[in-house]
Amino acid sequence: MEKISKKRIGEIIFYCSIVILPIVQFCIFYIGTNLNSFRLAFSRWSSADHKYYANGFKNFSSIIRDLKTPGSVLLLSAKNSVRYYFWTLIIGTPLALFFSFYIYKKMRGHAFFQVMLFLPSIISNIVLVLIFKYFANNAFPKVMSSIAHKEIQGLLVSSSVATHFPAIIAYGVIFSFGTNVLLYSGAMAKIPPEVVEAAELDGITPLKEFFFITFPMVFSTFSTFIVVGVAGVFVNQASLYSFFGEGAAYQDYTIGYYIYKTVNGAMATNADYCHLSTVGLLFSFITIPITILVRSLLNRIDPTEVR
Amino acid sequence: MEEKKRKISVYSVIGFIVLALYCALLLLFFVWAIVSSLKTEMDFFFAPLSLPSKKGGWQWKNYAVAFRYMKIVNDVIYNGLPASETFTLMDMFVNSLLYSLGCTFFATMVPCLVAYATVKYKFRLNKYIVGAVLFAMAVPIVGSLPSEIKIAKAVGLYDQMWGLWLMKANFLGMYFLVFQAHFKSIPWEYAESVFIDGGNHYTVLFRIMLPLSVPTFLAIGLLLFISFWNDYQTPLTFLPSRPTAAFGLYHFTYLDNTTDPKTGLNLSSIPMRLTGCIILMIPILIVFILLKNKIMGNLTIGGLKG
Repeated sequence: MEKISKKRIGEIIFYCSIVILPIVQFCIFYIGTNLNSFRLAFSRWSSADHKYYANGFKNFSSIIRDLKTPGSVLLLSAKNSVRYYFWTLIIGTPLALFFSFYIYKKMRGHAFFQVMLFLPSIISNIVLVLIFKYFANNAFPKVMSSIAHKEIQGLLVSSSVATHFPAIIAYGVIFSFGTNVLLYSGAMAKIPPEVVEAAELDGITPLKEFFFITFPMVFSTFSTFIVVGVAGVFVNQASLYSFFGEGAAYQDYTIGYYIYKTVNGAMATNADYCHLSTVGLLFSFITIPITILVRSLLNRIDPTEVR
Repeated sequence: MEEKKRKISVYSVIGFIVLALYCALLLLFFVWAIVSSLKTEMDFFFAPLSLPSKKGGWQWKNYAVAFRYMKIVNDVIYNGLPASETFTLMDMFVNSLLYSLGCTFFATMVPCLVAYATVKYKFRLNKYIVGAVLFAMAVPIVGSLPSEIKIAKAVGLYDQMWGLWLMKANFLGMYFLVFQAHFKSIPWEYAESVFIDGGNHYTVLFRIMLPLSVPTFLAIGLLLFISFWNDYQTPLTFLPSRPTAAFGLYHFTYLDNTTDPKTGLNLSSIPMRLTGCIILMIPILIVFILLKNKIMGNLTIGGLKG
């Protein structure tokens, strides 16, 4: 057997001392947590014995039955999760790219705009939500009432459920730009200036420059955001807990909020843990192939991908 | 040339107007919140868009009252008997600082060290570590919170400040990749010169590699600090007996409904809640103003390939 050199022994000792605790942490809090989720999803809690018993696929069939029932909380939550992601993607992403391009081109006021766009990212979500909510419920109706000459309700009051979700989407769009714009403009800044200069010599317009040079060069950043966003569709709470605490109307629920609210609720039980783990697992099974599909589609259309 | 200038101007004009409108909207929210926090409840109810009335006046005392009353009373068991523990705003700020600093340290140092080990040392485990990072980023896991709570309770980390630090001490996430890219750019020759001078691997790490990593470490650490400072849901779930300032505001907003006996102020009124919002914003705004350039330094992420 080959003798291990003193140098290699030194490397092994050093390497192990660095990675051993993070590996243990990973095993407990990633592998252990997810395996335990699996176990809970296939278990039921007996309040008589205070024990978990194997429950086969009954948890899953109960949730699938729920999802097939029109108007059920789970079905509404799933639809809202997708709606929230869709609208913030459709409205927020083009605006983020537009703002990032403006800042990258160092147009008038770019430094000030960059700071203002980033400001919501550093302020607590609960603070921003409360300011938005009280504005939407108190100041906004006054303005609209004087324009429309009729009584307008607050957008997020409990009696106006129909306006809740659009208001929440508006919040999501308005306060989402910070890190996105920072990362997009950072990626744009890495575009070789010679490429842009050559195009400008050929008389390229800003619009054409964006579509033919800038966007293709930052496509990897764009696709990362899309993939991470798709992966997080059913994790995203849409700030509902900040907006309503545990008292959101069920028509506003997202899957992320449903899970978080139930776990933290005063009446949460071990039986709830089994149900929520099953919900989480089921939606993970739905999201994983979609995420992989979206990633491979984006890789296919990536203009910088060498074929 | 004139035509080209005109075209650029059209785009920059549209961009300027849109961005100016957006910034005006943001400033409107913040200015409205500050002015509203200085109103009486009646002023706010009857004239939410106006400045405080002459009769109501500017209620600077709202801030003093919020400092005094933004507190949480937790039911505890002390020596086997039911008791209560009160956390004032200062206590909550201290908890926020401990939580944020501790979590930031572990959440930054662990990916930094593991990234360094995987880049500079050739071991078969490296590809599994990197694979785990990419897998965790690419594969969504929904609804692991109930399981995580059970695990935290089982290993004794639940409701412990140091427990939360350890729960954040993982190498998963994009910052591992950022550190990897950083360490790949540092030549190993520095280490070899340390070995020649009689140093060991720890000398290389602490005297060469970590000092060279300070800018990256600080940039990531600052972003994480802000994120932990503003997070109220993780402490709410895993650290219920040590409320942070963000949780204090949440609690103040949704669960309290009291009147200050000295001033008669309704503590659950919207002006009081907005006062709480402004108080919570101030520390992080100060950090941002002082360290704006470091926080907004270029961090880019690449595509998820492979």
